[in-house]
Amino acid sequence: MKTNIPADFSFSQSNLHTYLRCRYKFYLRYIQGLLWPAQLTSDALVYEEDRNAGIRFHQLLHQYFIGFDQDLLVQMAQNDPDPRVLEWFSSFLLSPFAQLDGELNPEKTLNANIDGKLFTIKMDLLQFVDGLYHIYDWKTSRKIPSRKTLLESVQTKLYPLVLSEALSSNFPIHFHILELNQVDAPITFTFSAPEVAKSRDYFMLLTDEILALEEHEFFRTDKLQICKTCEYRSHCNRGIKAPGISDLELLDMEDYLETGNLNTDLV
Amino acid sequence: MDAALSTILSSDNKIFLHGEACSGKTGFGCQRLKYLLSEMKGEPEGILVLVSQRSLASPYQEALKQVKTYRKSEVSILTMSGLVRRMVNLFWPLIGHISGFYRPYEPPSFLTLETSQYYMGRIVDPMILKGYFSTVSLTRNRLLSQLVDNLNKAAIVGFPYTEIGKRLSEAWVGQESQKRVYEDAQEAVNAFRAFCLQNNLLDYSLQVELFKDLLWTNPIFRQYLNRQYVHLIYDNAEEDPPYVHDIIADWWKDFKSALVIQDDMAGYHSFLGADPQSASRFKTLAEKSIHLQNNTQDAFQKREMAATIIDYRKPLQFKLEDIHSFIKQPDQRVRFYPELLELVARDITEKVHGGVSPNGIVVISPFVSDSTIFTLGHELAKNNINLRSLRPSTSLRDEPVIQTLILFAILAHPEWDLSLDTYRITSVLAHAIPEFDLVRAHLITKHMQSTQSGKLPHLADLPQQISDRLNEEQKDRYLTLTNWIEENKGVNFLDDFFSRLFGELLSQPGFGFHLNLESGSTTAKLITSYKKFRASFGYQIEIDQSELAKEFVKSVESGLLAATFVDDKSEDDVNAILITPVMSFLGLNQAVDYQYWLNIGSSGWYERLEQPLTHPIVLSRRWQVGEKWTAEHDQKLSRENLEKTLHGLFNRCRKEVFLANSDFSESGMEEKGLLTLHIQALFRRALKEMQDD
Repeated sequence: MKTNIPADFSFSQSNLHTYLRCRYKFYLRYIQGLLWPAQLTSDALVYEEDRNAGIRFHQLLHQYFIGFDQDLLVQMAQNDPDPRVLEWFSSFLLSPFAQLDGELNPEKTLNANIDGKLFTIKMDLLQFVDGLYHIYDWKTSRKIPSRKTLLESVQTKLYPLVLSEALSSNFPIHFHILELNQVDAPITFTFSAPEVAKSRDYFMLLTDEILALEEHEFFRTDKLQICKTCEYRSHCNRGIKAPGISDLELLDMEDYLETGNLNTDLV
Repeated sequence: MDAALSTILSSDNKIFLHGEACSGKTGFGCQRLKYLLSEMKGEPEGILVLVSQRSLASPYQEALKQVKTYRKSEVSILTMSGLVRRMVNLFWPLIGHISGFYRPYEPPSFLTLETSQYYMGRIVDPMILKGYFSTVSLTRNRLLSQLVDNLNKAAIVGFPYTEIGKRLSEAWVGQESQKRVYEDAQEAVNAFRAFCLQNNLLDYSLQVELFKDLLWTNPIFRQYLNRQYVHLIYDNAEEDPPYVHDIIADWWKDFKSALVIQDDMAGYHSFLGADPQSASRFKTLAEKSIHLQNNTQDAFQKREMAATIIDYRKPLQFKLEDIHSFIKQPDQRVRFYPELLELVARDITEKVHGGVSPNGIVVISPFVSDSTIFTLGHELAKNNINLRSLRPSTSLRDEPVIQTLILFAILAHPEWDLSLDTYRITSVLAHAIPEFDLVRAHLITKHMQSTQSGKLPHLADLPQQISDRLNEEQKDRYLTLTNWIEENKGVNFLDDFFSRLFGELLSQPGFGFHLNLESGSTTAKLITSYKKFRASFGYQIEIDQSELAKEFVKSVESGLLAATFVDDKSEDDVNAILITPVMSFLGLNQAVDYQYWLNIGSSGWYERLEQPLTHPIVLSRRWQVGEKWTAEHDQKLSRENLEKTLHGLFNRCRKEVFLANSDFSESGMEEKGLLTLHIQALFRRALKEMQDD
């Protein structure tokens, strides 16, 4: 029986990443909508602290690019319950990324309809300067991913594609990643129009495959390592306890970076 | 008309669109959204779709699904409360230091309704011990909710919270002692506000006040907002309080286009501050005002029927058979309520078996009790028909899955010293281990009771006559369960505790939640509720985590914490009959083919709730300060409410209303409220006219 993915389903960085890691998890989470609140890591509180500190830091940068007074934001960072937030913010202020010009759009969401399929991305910052678009992504990783890992990630390939489609741009797109725990080595990828077209082919093939699958073809991954960091492990009878936070890689967590649906912002 | 209307709605103008329910207003709102998304050229322009409550967003979400080619526009579908919360959070650095908070440079903690009530409880409990509120007969939860409601009313209506007691007192005409209660209420809300300012806590009233008084006047904020949203679609404006209308009216000139939609005979949430009169100001602000009316004979007749039920003197415009074709009553006299539910179940079954879709049927009552849901659900289940309930005020503790999780939390935290009912342990044990039956579970809890240890006995400590009655598999499961509890004693972050309990034990093969899909979403509810509870303590208040967890468990047990989670799945379940309170049904804004009205003799159809600490009208903007609230006001209000409710229900019914009436109501009383009297009068008049003819 063919699986009915809702017509309005919007492909995003996190759901595509989920699919690539385990088809069955994609099926449970995005088609069945099954909530299964088991732990992702046994260090749940550390994970939560990391996540909350990251959210507050992203908010500081959002406020910075809206135009809040810098001293006020430094004061906020100094009073943040997690000292890392001040460290990250101070590092950011010393970086060239704090001096950007042109049109700046923090926390920008874009949607694109590509060959009848919807895609959504949410960027930390979108800059338009000298006729070119620059995407910025701030990361506060415990384990710093390699350039190769970042280049191969769904996010790095998907964002330039959706941007070029949504804003009808054929010019090269720059994707800058600032790892706040390693500010002296920012990473920039530049995607020319042919490279974006290549990404387009890749994602069209991938999403065509997803939409064509029969229900039984959403099979479980055979890489049992992936099941360790999956909340559905008890549902699939593939483990009891969650791993420690030190065992997690960026790829384990990318599943959980949800970008929302159709840019609707319902509260 | 439709073509002309369509043209008007496909242009960049500012329109006020109003009419009765189900006349197609929201459909035009969706059309406008699609137009804005599909046709507009040029730079990206944000669209704000403002709805008065979350459930009303669905038509707009559906409309978005149909748009295939939008590229440059952005849509936010929000309630004003959602917008306020987000903006106060984002712009906190600009306002924290000028709003009286003790720690303005630290992140604030946002309170939910439940956590506000929790903190209000901390303020009020010592007051009660000192004799405050002694003349009021209310449960603690209702007392807290009315106090919080007072603060919210002051914020959304727009008067200083320090005047709550004075306003209530000035309108009071009864015994003088009640005025002392209003003074107590004022003292409690004053202390609550001071506590919030000291601890960076933002309850709903403070969020609204910060938004109105500080953010809205801030140029950076206004610039930001104007960049975000260029077009407005605002639906069901009449269900919002006046501060929302103030904001939108002030914002009006900055929008490139605007469409405000109002339901003429609504304002169902007036007890929560909804103000249709205030919303109607957009009629004069808009460039065009359009009135939609359903002009079919059927719609005309329903309007007339509702109006004639309300007004005895209005001449009848229809015959008895017209009434019978729309309003049905039981064929035979029904004396008792359970009998009535059986009859309703039979009638529904006939309809469903006759091809009516279950989602075209709704059962409504002023209040929906557990026993009604159980009995009706049971009767319908005999014929393979599902019943789903929508009760916004359901407590978390009512869910069996949550009872199981809470019981495990108590068992793993003996230091809380919370008492446990042995029957409850028995049923939870049987629920957690399907291999067990109630008898075996009872044997264990009986032994537990005899040891008075307050903890489940270890397998090795069970008397032989009990362990002999367990097979190897049962023993194995029981051992796993008790070991897990031992290992997780002292896990005080309850979200972490529940997550472990769910993932490592209860959802594992051989335990009660394994492959039980519902258990996942219910556990997630409880975890979310605890996270919000914990987050409300922020970083400012030094508190023992074990005490915090205990407070949460006590709050769930007392029914203070509600299951406010929106369960999208159940809302979308088209294969179940819906049972819901009248106000909740009207709030859904959906029409059905058949409505079954229960408890029609009840005064709950029109009377305002008994609220000795607050008053929705006296604390509204339309109330003249200093005026007295009298019995005449109450009668007038009841009549207005009944009129609104009748029109609303008739407009939302396509085929038939079934008046399910029994001699004795659910509470065993012979009730004859206004609704019964008016409907009986209608039938009598129609019968008399028929006989006269």
